[in-house]
Amino acid sequence: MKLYSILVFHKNVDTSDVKLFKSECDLSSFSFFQRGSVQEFMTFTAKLLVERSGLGARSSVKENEYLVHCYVRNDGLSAVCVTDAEYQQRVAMSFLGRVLDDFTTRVPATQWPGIRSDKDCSYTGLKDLLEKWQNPREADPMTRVQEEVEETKMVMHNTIQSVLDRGEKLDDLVKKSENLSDQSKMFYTSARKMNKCCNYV
Amino acid sequence: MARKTIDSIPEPIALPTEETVQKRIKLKMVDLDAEIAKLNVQSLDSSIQMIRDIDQMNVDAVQTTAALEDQDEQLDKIEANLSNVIDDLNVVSHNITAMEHYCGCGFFRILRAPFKYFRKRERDIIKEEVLEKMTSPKLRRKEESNMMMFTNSSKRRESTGDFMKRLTCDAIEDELERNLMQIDQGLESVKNLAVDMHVQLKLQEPKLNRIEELTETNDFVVEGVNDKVKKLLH
Repeated sequence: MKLYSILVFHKNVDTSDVKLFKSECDLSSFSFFQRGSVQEFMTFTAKLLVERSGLGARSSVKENEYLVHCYVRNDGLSAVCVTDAEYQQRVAMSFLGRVLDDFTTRVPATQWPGIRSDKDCSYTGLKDLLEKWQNPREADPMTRVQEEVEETKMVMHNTIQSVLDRGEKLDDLVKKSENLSDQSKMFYTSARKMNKCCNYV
Repeated sequence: MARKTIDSIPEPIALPTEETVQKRIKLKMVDLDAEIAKLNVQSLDSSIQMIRDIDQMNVDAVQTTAALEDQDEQLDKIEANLSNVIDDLNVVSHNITAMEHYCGCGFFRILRAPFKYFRKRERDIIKEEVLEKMTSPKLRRKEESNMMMFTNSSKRRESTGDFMKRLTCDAIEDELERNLMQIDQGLESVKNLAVDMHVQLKLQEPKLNRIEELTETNDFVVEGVNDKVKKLLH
């Protein structure tokens, strides 16, 4: 479960031009010599996907073992993230929504036309968000609840197994108790005979 | 031929006007809104049902944990009583051995000496093993430490919401969000109770083992005492 990159674009509502505002990548799992090519490919694919998506649309594209999730808001602000196949789509869409909300909070819409390159954008939250959402359990409450349910299930499975083993032990204990009871009855009978014998003597 | 050609041409179909298209679009929009509202209501009902089920689970788990604790106390009592029975049986065995020495004749006693030695030794070995397992505190501490490691559960911060993506931002969604937060807390409680039940069962496992061994020892001791008494009677 890996989140490779997050990119923020702006799509002009009238002319459909797409500008890259900010991007952040985590390419530590790729070879050192491939990271530049991988980053360029991700940026190109993301931009193409934003151009082809309509306003207010959410879409996911699968390329080999990677997924590219895209969310274009009605005001043209867009976010694209690249994940592996195990990362849940619902969590990815939540991540994109969170990124765009955070971006809008820190960079007002009036400043968007002035952003022409990566340096013009003053937003610095992408790195932290990318690190935080690597583990959906910490970032997404629904995933955390699901994991808690799974853990509870495992604990209860172990408990049921313990109860079954305990049942077998109790059965053995019952048998031994019955033996002890029989022996005690025999002892009682013998003791009474002994008392009779002693009284007679 | 000209007549056939003209007659075969179908009459023109009236094209839909803008008003008709708008009506269809409006109908679809109304249907979508109704569908969204319906799904919201269904989700709310489902979350309420989940809350009820989780409350029931919590109640049942609490009762089960309390019952297991009661069983734990009863097992302690059984173990103590079985120990008392062993002590009493040892006294009885000792007294019967003395009676045997007093009543039996010397010749048969000399002949049976080696057999008596082996039987006594076997019983003593079993008794020593049981006593070692009972009185050694190190084993108990190790077992308890293992249980404690399993019990560790990190405390989690309270849920800050954001369980679902908002769509209509109305009262139903607010209530649904609150219900989901309540479900989250209830599930955490259920998980803690499940861990407690598991720990309780693990704690009782060695006690059951000890009780089983004590019962077996008692069985052997009573059997030996019975044999002695039969020999004295005949």
